[in-house]
Amino acid sequence: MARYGLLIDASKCTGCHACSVACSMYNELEEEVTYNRLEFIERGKYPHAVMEIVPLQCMHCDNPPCATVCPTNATFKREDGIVSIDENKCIGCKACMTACPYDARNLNEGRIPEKCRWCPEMLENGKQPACSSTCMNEVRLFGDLDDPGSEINKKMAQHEVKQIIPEKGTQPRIYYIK
Amino acid sequence: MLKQKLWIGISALLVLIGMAGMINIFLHGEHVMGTTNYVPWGSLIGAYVFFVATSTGLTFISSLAHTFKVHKFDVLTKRMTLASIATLLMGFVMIGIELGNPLAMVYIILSPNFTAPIFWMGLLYSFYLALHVVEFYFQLKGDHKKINVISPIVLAVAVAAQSTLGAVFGMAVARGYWNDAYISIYFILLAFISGLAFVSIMMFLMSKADVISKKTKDQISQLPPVMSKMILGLLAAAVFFNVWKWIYTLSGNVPGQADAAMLMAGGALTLPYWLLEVGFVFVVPIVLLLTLKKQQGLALMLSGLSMLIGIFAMRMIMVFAGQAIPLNIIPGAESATGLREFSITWSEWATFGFGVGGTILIYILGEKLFNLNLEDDHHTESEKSGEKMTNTGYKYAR
Amino acid sequence: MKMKRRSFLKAGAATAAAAAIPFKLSISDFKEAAENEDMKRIATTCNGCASMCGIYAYMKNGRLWRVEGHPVHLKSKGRLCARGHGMAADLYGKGRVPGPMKKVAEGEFEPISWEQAFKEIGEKLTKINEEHSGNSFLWLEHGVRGKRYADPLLDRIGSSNYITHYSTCFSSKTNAWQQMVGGMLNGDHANAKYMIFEGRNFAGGIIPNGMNQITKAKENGAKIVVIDPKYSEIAKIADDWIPIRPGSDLALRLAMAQVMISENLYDKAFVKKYVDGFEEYWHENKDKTPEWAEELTGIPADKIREISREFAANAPEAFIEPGWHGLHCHYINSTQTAQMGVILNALAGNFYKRGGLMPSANVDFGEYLHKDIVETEKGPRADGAGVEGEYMTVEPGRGISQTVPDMIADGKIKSVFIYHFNPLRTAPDPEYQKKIKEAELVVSIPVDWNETSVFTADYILPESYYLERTEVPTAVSGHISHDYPQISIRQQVADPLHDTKPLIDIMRGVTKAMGYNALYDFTVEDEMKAMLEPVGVSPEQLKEAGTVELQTSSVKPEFPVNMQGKPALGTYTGKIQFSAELFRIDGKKGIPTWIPPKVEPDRSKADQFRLIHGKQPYHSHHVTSNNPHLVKITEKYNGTAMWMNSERAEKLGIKDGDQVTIASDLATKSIPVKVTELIHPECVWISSAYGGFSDKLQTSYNLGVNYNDFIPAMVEPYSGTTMSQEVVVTVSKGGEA
Repeated sequence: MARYGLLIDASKCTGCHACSVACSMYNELEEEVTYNRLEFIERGKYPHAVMEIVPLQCMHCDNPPCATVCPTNATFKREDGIVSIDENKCIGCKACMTACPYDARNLNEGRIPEKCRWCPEMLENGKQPACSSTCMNEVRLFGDLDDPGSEINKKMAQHEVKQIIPEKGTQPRIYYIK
Repeated sequence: MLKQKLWIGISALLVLIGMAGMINIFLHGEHVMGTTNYVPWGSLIGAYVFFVATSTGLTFISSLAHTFKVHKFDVLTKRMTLASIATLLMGFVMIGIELGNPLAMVYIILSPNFTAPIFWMGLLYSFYLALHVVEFYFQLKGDHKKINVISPIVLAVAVAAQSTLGAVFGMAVARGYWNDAYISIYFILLAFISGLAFVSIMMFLMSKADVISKKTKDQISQLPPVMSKMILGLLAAAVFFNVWKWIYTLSGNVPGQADAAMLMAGGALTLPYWLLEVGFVFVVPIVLLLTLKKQQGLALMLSGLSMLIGIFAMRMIMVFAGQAIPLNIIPGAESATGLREFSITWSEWATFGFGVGGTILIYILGEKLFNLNLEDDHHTESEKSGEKMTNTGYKYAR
Repeated sequence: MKMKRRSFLKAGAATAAAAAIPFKLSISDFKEAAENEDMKRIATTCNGCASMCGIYAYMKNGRLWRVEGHPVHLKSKGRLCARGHGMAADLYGKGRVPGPMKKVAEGEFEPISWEQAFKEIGEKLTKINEEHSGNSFLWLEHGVRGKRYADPLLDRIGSSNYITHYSTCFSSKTNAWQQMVGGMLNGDHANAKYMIFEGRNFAGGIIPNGMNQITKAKENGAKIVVIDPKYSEIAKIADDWIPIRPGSDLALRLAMAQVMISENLYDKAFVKKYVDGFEEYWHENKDKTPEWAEELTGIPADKIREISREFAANAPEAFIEPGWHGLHCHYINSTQTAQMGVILNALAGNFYKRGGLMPSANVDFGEYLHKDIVETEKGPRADGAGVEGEYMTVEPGRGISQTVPDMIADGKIKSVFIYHFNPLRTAPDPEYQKKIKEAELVVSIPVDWNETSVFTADYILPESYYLERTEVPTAVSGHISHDYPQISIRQQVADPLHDTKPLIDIMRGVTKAMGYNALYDFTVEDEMKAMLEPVGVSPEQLKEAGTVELQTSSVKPEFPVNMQGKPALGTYTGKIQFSAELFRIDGKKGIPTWIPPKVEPDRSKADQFRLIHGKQPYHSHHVTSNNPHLVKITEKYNGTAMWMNSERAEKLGIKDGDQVTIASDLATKSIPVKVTELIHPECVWISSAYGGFSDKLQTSYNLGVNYNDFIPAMVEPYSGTTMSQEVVVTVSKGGEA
């Protein structure tokens, strides 16, 4: 069984939002639902100011607070690490939304809190999901963390990586190059 | 007759408007609710807490009679149980409307998640409702033996359920303002106060109703001093909780916690907090109960009304304060400046109205269908005409 | 009542796997359903912008599902920007014109049949041409896709009036390069060590594979310098963002050249061999020192020296990006700024060098031979482009598109066909542009209800969406460097949803009604066959592949020379000419030197700013602004806000998110402000995407403000551009949202 992870090099992102629109098309998302987003952070004073951009989406945590609080196991952790949703079981209590420290979920028209799926049907075939495959700057790299030869492991070995708010104990599966 | 029609009319109107709001929510989902992706829990969650906590509080007080053998309260037990069931059902209506997909509730049984507070809460409150109905049945039958067995269980389940409801908030790791162990205990305390507030109003209406027997009135007139002491005592405890919460929050460094507190110290929630929460829940009752000693019944009724309004606001403030501060995911992010928008829409107000109207209607219905007086009062009361019976019924309602 | 996100799958799966699919789909169902899908993948090209990236369109149960980048196409290489994805969905967009329309009142149209439309237009056009002359006909388009089908008519009736949108876009650049180099070269981003993007936001006007090459080069150690008053998207990956006073880029470039020459850092051997006019240039511009430029640009002289030296040190694997829209229709000195782009690159000796500037690979297509070759003599161009005594130095192939109402008022133009162009929103002064309707006949051939169609057209003849039509093959080239020639094709992936036609059919219909029966008596297939014949790729092969790379020839890093070994560029001397010959002949300056901007904000006035604009990476100027996918990004990320420097904002008491009033002599509008450190204090910036005023386009209607509202229709004397940033606005707090 693979153990999927995602490595993000935020320094290369130029904020074109192709990831978001490609994802919307691929997953046929409703207008008010977005699986991934960009956070913009301005730092410094003119003329030495810079803009940082951080792509965010469901972190597919190893200790997912959303799954912990889900009363019906509608949100659950798959063996390969993907945090998945069984829409049939969702009662729409939105506890997952209040529990998520990353604001990763959006409510759909059916009042079910959706989130990034990590497109397992792509990962299982060794392909990059739409957000990654369309990215002109190759900001995202999905891969199998258990496969020592995988691109993601090679790249992670070359760089120092960090996680977002690891202090919440969520153990996110998305790593960001420092 | 007129007065009864007035009560029924007002509550029916509330129920009808409420149904319009609920249908609107059913048709248009969260578009017509004050919720957003950033503030997913809206005012109906607050209303749910309000109603079920009131229900729990009523159980506490009725258990004073059965479980703790404080027989002064015997006179009120059936009515409190009825009111408790009514408010509990209305709480379920609130959460049912807030839930996106209530039909999937069956999966709470089929696919339970034992780590989820909502699972336990759902289980405990379902259990609570069932036991409550059974308890009420035996109360009506006057089967004290069975009541004495069931009543302590109902109390235990109520405490467990209410503190689990606290945990629903308390265990939200992402929300600094809620993420706190004490919230479960504070919920129990507040439920007790809610129950006392409700009973204070009930007592006043019963004491004014001309159809209530003198004996019952006499029994009720014994209660105000003890009620007053209980309210003051519990409010004092709540003040301690609050003062320490403020001190911990402002001196601590939990992300989101101090910011949320600042909403109340000098931000968007300042007015509702100080006026409705501090003023109506604490200041007004304490002042009334300490000063209006000669008209203790009136003071209790006014205090009860004040506290119920204040506690309702308090639930809203708690729900929104926990979500209004943007999560600090990426420090300095542009999307996390300012506050997350929150609001209460007409459909939601209408749904609360349904809760209030529904409580009154269920109560009146209960008074019509059942004999809620003490057994030894039975004969005198039952000899009176049915019309008068209902006449008293509506007067007991608030 | 519940609307399911994956309802599309349900429908598809239901037919494929009938009852096997549950009411709601979980992730595993998704996979299963996807496998059972009736899925088709068709290669075609994108139309989200003018780059025409190769794409694969995925059709699911006869409906477009999504697109992805074509893996071979050199512009996409498997990757696409937001526009590419979003605009594909506009196939089903609500703003499309559903069939031919005839104007019945101001802004009101009634559907008519194609036959009726052809008949009426044909008759009117014939009558106008008889009364005046064929030269009173104007073909106005974005360029150059419609030219193929405009030319037969223009030639037949004798009209020289083919005008493109380029004067609102980048004519200063193409003009300078044509005059000085004889054509365009592209930056070889992949192999460069030092890249200067001045006023050029490569991450805003996106070529996905170009950006991929740039970020890869950066990973390999290349340095990226971005010079722009606004911290543009490309600045995000720059090693150095140098904010410059808008309008002073020419001064910076003159000073950079001054450093390179005075410090002997330029490639003397290259200049000696391949440059004409160096001495004249130096004689004219010796005094343009960094200190001189510091005053004008606000960039410290030492910084100018530093980048000049670094640029020279990394040469020839260094270049100043030749650019696109940015800088090249913005100021009165835009042509000279573009000329300095040629000169700085030449001083670096980077022409025809790896890591410097490289040519595009050519494709020798065959030509379809038309049967009706009767030509009528043409009169002078109505816009005066290339006409002695008028705008002689303006490229006639591109023309001047912003003054069409004048041409109509002067009686030079009586009938106008507007093909995929929306001057009412993308050219200056919409109120003035509305006067296009004064022509006796205005026919618009758009896809959607754009402002120009709604407010000026007598007839709207909607063209089929790009996913509904097949076009002739094109050579893939421009803006990025690639060794081998590629050809790609746009082909129909979906049946037309509405009563629309491809342009060739529209032209055939109109001209037949004019009595020209054989003018378009061919099909795209006929043309395709003729064009592909010498290429060695069959139409079937091309359609199957979508994009084909031809390994037959390749570009080489060699300066073109003739048989005698002499430089053989397409210029007067065959060399890079520092003096533009035609400019000199027209009595203008051939050598670029300092020209101050036309207008300047008064720096003593707290409320005066230069209004600048730019492309957002998720919009292609206004043309994408009705797309719900892309406007979702706009709304989520505050895309319509005007950027203002925080120090200036503070002085005006303006806070982030405040609504302000912005006014020029021409217009007063209200807009929310983004207060930021990321912009030069003397200007305010807005995106070029917004300000829609066609109420038939609900998503873009009244969304944001457009820079064109504030600028009069002006003509830059050298290249005919709009000088779209020669405008001063006043900004004040308050205004209605």
